Amino acid sequence: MKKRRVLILCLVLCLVAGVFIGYTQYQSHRKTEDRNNSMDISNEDGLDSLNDQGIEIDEGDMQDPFSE
Amino acid sequence: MRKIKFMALLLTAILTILSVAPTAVYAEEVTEGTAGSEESEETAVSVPYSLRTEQVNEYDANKVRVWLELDPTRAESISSYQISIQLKDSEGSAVAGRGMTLKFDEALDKAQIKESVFDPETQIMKIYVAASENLVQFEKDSEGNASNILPIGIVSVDKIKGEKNMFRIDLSDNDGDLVTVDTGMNTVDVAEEFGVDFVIPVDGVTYGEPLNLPLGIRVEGKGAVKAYIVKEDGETPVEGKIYEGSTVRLSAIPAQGYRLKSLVLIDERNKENEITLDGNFKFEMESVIGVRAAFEEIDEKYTVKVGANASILGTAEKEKEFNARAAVTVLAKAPEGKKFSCWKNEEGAVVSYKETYSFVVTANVKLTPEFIDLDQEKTEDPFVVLNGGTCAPYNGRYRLSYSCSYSLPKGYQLVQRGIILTNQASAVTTDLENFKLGSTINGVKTATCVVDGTNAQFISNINNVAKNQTRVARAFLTYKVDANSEPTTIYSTNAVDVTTH
Repeated sequence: MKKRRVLILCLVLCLVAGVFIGYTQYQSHRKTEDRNNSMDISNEDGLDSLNDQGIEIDEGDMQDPFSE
Repeated sequence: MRKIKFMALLLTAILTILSVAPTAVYAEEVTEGTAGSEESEETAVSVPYSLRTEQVNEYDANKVRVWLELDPTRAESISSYQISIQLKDSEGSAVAGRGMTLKFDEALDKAQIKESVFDPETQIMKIYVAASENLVQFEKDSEGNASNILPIGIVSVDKIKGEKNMFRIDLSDNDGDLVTVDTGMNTVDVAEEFGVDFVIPVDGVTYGEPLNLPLGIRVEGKGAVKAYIVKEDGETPVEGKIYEGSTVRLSAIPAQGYRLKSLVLIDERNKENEITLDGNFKFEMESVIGVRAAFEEIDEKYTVKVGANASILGTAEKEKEFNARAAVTVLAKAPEGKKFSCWKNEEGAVVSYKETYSFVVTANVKLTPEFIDLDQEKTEDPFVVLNGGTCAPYNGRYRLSYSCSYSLPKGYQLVQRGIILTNQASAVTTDLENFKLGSTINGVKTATCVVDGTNAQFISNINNVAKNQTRVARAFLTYKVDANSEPTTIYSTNAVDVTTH
């Protein structure tokens, strides 16, 4: 009876450990993927430092249509 | 006792499954999207040769390495070969007109004859290689298994936009010649003949799918660069990688006291390939692209003045000088018996309906608060104002920046806003009413620069303007009162001209 309890306990522990290992491996893989997908953004915080109050302006650009 | 044995076995089985399961999931995800075929893994050991293909570079879907893989258990020494490969679309049809070139594998440098002839009509490339020594490479794969390779080379297939770019490399007619030699380089008879006794299977992998390419942005000085993917139905900010062929628009926004000095694109895969960024700051994503933006500090200052019953936040003065693009807040204080209505500029145009008005300084400005009687109802109308224009050297020419503000009452819908532009300065001065969207002045059609976004302030930049040129701009705003109403366009009451010098 005692041995059975010990075995069941072992079984549960193994299950928990397996789930934990799988989850951490998956997370680590996701992190790598996210890093690969992210932009090289040296201006990551640029928008916050544009002015004292963080007021944003939209900018549009156009090639001068009248200059050759 | 039996039960315990059974439990022990069960435990062992579960432990085994648990230790293998996470690894399998990971391995499957890593191989996703890479070239290769499971089908060919099976066939490679059942026939003497198989044609194998593999994408050379993660970020070039049109370059594919081609080689013959030999069954290690039946491998021979081959000194010469003649083989025909064919370019086919993803459906397996050869479509005439598409180009393909071959760069022979470096391992074939020792061959005396190396020739490839491509027929664009049949899409067949005939390949001839002859050497005076064995060309088969006896190697081992990462798992230590024998991997015997007869190298061919890297084929480069012409790019076609969209789904039509998909292709595969097939074997034409499945016959040719493989000259089998012994260790003394003497031609030997082989029991099986290519094209007669056996056919060479092809892995059949399809290539040319649109790539997901990274865009890197690096900034020098103070400022920010935003990237947007341009689609027919609008723009979306770039997040992560961008599909090959997508149109990307950049927006370079200097911080206060700075201006854009340069904005260039670099092909990170091929630094010698110069990518030109035109004045629209739009480009097509064709490679791994690096954006290099440089912002330089400037000593440009603007004065903000306020009228009676108003103050500038942070100073007791009615007038203060600020760096270009500094954020300023002005406050109105209604006199007794009155309430705040709006802020007006020197020309008498409304610039804000907010009692505490914050904005970014882009020009000299004098603001006066307007007040109404307490029993009067405060009304808000749509408006667009052109605050001013500046000129700065850029890219060997000039960059003109026209700064505007707009506001719409609650519930109104913004359709578009921006500036209209002309080089007919004198005509506009005398006839501002004719200076509208789509108008023609002195026979010269006006240009329109639409600025995406919804922020209350926007700047239209006109890039690469030549020396000694004058450009006049007028702001416009198109809106709808509700979703079902017809769009209405209003214009700034003024036009601003800037001359390059």
